Amino acid sequence: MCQCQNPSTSSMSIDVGSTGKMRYFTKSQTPSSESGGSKSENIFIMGANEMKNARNVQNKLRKKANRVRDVSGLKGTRSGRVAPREHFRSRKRRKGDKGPDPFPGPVPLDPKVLAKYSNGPGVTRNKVKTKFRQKEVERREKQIEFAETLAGKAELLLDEDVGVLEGDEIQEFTPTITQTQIQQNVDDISATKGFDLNLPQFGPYKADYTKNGRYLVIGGRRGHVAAFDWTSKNLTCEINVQESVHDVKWLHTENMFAVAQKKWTYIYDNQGIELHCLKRLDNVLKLEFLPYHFLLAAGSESGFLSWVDISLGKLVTQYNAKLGPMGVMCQNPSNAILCAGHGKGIVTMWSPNMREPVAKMLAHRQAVRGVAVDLTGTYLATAGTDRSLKIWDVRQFKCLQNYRISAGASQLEFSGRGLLGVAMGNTVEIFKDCCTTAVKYPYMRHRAFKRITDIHFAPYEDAMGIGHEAGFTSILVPGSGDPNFDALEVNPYQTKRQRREAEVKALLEKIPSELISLDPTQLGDVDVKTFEEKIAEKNSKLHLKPEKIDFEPRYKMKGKGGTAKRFHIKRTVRGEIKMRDLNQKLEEVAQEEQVSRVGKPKQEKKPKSLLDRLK
Amino acid sequence: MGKKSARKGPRSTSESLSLDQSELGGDYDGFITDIAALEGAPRFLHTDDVEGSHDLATPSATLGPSSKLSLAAMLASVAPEKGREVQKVKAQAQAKEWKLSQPLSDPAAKMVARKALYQRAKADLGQWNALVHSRRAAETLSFPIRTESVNRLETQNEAATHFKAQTPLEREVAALLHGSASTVKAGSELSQREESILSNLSYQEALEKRKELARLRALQSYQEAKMKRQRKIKSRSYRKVVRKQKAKEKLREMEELQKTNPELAQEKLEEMDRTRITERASLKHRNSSKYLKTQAKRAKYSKESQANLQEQLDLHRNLMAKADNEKADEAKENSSDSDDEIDLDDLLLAKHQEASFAVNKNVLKETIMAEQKTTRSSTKAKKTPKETRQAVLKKKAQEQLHLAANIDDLFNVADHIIDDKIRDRCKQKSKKIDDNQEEPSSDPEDAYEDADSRALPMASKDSQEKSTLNKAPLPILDPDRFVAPTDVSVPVLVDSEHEEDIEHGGAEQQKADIIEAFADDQVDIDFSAEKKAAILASKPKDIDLSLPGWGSWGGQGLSISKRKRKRFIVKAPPVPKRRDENKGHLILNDHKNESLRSHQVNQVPFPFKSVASFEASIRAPVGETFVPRVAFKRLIKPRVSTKAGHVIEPIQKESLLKRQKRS
Repeated sequence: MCQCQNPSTSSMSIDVGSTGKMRYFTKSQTPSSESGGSKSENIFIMGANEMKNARNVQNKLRKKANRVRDVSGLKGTRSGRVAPREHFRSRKRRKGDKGPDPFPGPVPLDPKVLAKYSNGPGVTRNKVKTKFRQKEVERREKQIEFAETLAGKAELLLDEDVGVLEGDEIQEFTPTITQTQIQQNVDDISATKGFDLNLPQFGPYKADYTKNGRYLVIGGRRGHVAAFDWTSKNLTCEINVQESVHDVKWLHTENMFAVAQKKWTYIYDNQGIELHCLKRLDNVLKLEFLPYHFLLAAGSESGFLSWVDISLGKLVTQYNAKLGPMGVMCQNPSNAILCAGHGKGIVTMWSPNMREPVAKMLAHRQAVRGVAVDLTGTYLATAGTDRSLKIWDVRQFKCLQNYRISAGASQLEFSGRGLLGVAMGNTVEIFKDCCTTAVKYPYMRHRAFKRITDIHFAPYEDAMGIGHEAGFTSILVPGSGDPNFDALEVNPYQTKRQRREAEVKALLEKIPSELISLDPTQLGDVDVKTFEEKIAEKNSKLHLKPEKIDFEPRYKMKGKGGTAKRFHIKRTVRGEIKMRDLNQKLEEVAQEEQVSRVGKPKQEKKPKSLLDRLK
Repeated sequence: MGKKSARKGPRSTSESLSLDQSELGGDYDGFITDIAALEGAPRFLHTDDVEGSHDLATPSATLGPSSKLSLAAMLASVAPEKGREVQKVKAQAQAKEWKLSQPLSDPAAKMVARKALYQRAKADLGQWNALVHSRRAAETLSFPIRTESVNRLETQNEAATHFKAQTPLEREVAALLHGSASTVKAGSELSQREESILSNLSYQEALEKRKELARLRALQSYQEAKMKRQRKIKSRSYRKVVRKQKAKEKLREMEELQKTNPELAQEKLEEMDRTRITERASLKHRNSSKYLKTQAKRAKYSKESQANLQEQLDLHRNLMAKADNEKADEAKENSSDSDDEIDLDDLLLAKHQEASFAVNKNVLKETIMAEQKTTRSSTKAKKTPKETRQAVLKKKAQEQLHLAANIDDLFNVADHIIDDKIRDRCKQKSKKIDDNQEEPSSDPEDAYEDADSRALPMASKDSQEKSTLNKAPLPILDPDRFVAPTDVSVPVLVDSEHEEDIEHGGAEQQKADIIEAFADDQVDIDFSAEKKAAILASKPKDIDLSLPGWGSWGGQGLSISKRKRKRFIVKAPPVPKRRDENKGHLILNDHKNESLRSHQVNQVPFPFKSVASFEASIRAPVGETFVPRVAFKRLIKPRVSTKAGHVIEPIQKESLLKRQKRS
C-alpha cells in the first residue's frame, strides 16, 4: 500500500482492482487508514508492483475463465434443482501417496451456483418407450448434469471483482464525488479512460461503442463523424459527411458503421470510405443493430420501422408503425424485439414478423422520451416528460418501481452490470440497484457542459460515454462494466485474426429473422396445436391404431392436495376398505352355514368342449 | 437260425415261405422236417397239422400265403407248462403291443420338424443375446474391440532375432559386422577387441579405460542426436545464423591462409571467382525461386516483402557486377537472408565488391531523379493536380521503365515511383485535414438547415421546464380508469439544490413542450378504447345463416323470428383466455407467430411418450459456446469409433465363450 495526498478537501479510500476497477471503502473498512498522514487526507491505492503481480495472475486465470460459458440465460424460467450431485470421482491419488484422502468425496459446490446453471428438470424414465432408449435418456441426463456442475465449478475462475464507489464519514454521499476526484485516485491507465473531446462547432453528438467496447464512433449533428479506439485514442478515421448526422451505429465488427444522415443511411468502413448508401432507410432518426440476426433496424421520422439484413444486403421488412416519429427506440438484447416510446405515454414492442406491435403498453400519462432494456431482458426502464421514471418487468409487463426524478429524462441506458444511466438536460445521473429496490438517491452524478443528447456505457469497462452539444465526454463509473468477459463471445482484446474468425462464426450462427418473438424459448417447444390436429386426424381413421399422446403434463392445482382434503380422502378410503372386509366376512359366514346345512356343493362339471383336445 | 427268422418278424417269414411253396413244390415237406431236425423237435410242427393246413380259418394254421403271422397267435400254441423262460417271453410279448403307430400326415410332420429346427436355432442364437444387448446399450464402442491377441508389426529388435543374411550383399555386411572383433555383440557391453585390451590391463587401468570408452560412446551418441536435431530445424532465422557463422569461419580461414600460404589462398579465390562466373551465367538469384515469386506478388501491398525483394535485388546486383573491384575494402557486412540458395563463396565475394556498387547505385539514382524532376515540372503545368496525378505518375513510370535498360535500373525506378507515391499521399492527407478544419467555418449552413428542423420528436427539444411544469395544473384523471401500479413505491429522486443546476432550454421551447405533452390528456381513456377494439377484433364472430323470407313471409317491415334466427346462427368457438386480460395498461398481440411456427417441431419423435418429455430432452444446450469444453466433448462423443488402419473382424464365437467363462 502506498499513500498519496488528495488535493480535494474530502477524503476517501479507493481500492483499485486488477483491471482498474475502483472500489471506495469507508474509513473503518480500510486496514491501514490510521497509519501516516492526517486522517482526513489519506488515500490508499494499491502499489504499482502489487497491481502488476495481481494482473499477471488474473490474466492467467482469465484465459481459463474464458472457457466458461454463462448458460444462465437459457430457459431461465424453469425451476432448477438445488441439491448438489456427485459427478466427479474423488480426486485421483498418486501411487506413492499414503494415508487417507484429506478431502474425500466430490468437491462441494454451492447449491445456489448449481441452481443458476441448472437447465431444469429432465426426462423421466417412464416417459420413454423402449428399454434401450430409457437407458440412453438416463445417460444423457447424467451428461447434462455433469455439464451443469462443471459450469458451476468453473465459476471459481471468474474472479475479477466488480468496482464500486462507497462513501466514508466525511463524504458519505457518493453522487458528490466528482470525476476529477476519481481520476486523481485511480491508476494511470484507468484515469485515461475519462476524457473530454471539445468539439463545440459540430453540434450535438451521438455515439456508439462496439460490442466488445473497444472502439467508439461519434457523429456530430453537423456532419462530423469519427471512429477511434477510445482507450488508446488511436483514430481510425475522421470524416465530414457534409450532411446532418442523426445517429451512428457500429455493425458487427469495428470495420463498418452505419450513419443515419440527412436523407439516407450510409455505411462506412473503418477508413471512412463509403461502402453503401441504403436508400430504403430514409429520414432515419434512430438506428439499432441486432448482432445475432445481422439486422440493422431503423426508426424513421415518418414513422416507418425497417429491418435490413446486412449479411445479405436485403430489406427484411419495412412498415409504418402509424405512431408518429420513431425517435425513441431501443432493443431488447435478450430477444431482439425493438421497444419504442411514443407520445401519449405509449411504449410499443416490435418484431419484423408482425405488422402490429407485439405488445403495446401505456407506461406514462405523457410522452415517453426514453426507453432502455437491460442485458438480461428482465427490466425495462421508461421515462416520460411527466418527470417520472418507471422500471418494468418486461416478461410480465408489470411496473416494479416508479420514481419521480428532478427533470424529464431524455436518455436512458443500462450498463453491463445493470446500472441505469439517466440523462436530463445537461446532467447525467447513474442509479444502482434501482430495479430491485427503491433507491433514495443516485449512485453517481455528472454535469456535462451542455445539453446531453446521447449516453452509452462502455461494455466491459468502467466508463460511460456522453454525447452532448459541446462534444463528447467519457466519465469513469466504477462498477458499470462486467469485469469478466467471455473471449469466445466478445473479446475486447481480440486480434485481427480472431476478429475475422469471430465474424465467420457469427455468420454461420446467424439467427434467421423469423425466429424473433417475445419468448425466444418458444422455438424449443412443440407446436402442440398442429400436433393435436394431426393426431386427431390419424385417430379418426378406423383401420389405424389410435395414438395416445400426453400433450399437457398434469400439474396438481393449488388447493387440490391440501391436508384437510387428504384427511377426507384417507377417511373415505379407510371406510371403504372396512366395508369391503366386512362384506367378505359376511359372505364367508353365509357359505359356512350353507355347507353345514347342505353339505359341500358338488363341483360342477364343465361341459366338454371341442377345444379340450388341444390342451 | 430259427431264432433269427423268428426275430425277423412275421412278414419276412411268410414271404420266404410263399416263395418256397411255389418253387420247391414237393420238397416243402422235407424242408420243414429238416428245419425241425435242426431246431430240435419243435412241438408245433406236427405232420398232421401240416397236412391239415388247408384249413385257413383255424388260428393254428398260420403258414398260409394270405394269412398274417402274429406273435400272439404263435405264442398261443406254446404249451403253458413248458419252461419258465418261455413263459416269461410269452408274458412279455402279450404285454407289449408289437405295433407301429400310424405315420403322421405330411404337413403335421413338417410342422414338427420345423418346430424342432426352430427350437434348436433359437437356442443357438440365444447365446448371442447378452452380447448383442450389451453392445446395443453401450455408450460408446471403439472398434476394433480389444481382443487377447493383438496383431501388431514386429519391432526392429524382434525382427533382428530371426534375420538371416541371404543376398550376397547382406552376407558381406553380416560378415563385416559379425566377423570384426571391434563390433559390440548383443548382450555384451564391450566388443571383443576392447575386452582383450582390458584383459591385458591391470584392474584399475581397465576400470578407467572402460569408463573412458563408455564416456566416449555416450558423447558420440549425444553428438549424433544433436546433429540429427539440428538437421531438422526449419527456422529461417536459425539458418541465417548458421550461415553467417559458417561464412565467418571461412573468412577467418581465408585470412589465415593468406598469412600462411598466400599462393593457395589466391588459388582458392580464383576458384571462387570461377564458381561465381558460372553462377552469373546461370542467372541464379534472379527471381526464379518460389519464395521470390510470391514476394514479388505481395510487394504491391506489403512493405516487408518489398524490402525482401529489394534485398534480393541487391544481392543479385552484387553477383551480376563484374569482379574487377576486388581490392576494395571490406567495410560493412551486408546481411542477406532472403534466399537459402546463396553460397558462402558468393557472400565472400559480395563483401569484396560492395563498396563499388554502392557508388554505382548512387550515380544511377541521381540521374533518375534528375529525369523525374524534368518530367514532373513539364506535366504539372498543364493539368490540375488532383485529377491528373495518377495519369502523370503512370506515364512517368512508363517512361522511366523504357529508359531503364537493365533490371537494376528497372527496380531502382520502381523504388522511386513508390517513394513518390508515398510522398504524394502524405501531402494529400495533410491537405485534407486542413480542409476539414476550415470547412465548417466557411461552409454555408445549407447542409444543416434541415438538420434542426427535422428533429427527434422530443429529444431535440430536450430542455426541461421545471418551474412551469410545477405551475401547470395536471389534467383531472379518473384514477380507476388508469391502471397504475398499486403497490409500488414512488420515491422522489429530486435533489432540490441540485435541480437548479440542470440547464434548461428557453421559455418558448418549454411552452411548446407542454402543449405537446398535454395535447391529449385522456391517454388512458383512449388506450382502454383501443384495447376493447383489439379484443373485439381478435374474437371470432358468430355466423348468421338465416335468410329473410326463407320459410316465412318476407318483405319490408317484417323481421325474422327470434327462434328461427337462433336456429340458424353458427356459434363461434369460445375464445381462450387472453394473457393481458387483467392488465388494463397492456395490449398483447395474441396472434401466433406463423413464421416461428414453421420452425417448430409439430410431433413427438419416437421414444418419447409425451410432449413434455420431448421438450425436456432438448432443453439443454450442447454447443461449445454454451457448455464447458470437457462436458461438450463428452456430449458429442460418437457412439462408434474406429481406429484407422485396423481390420474390423466379425464377432467370433470364442469371444462369447470367454464372456461366459468370466462370469
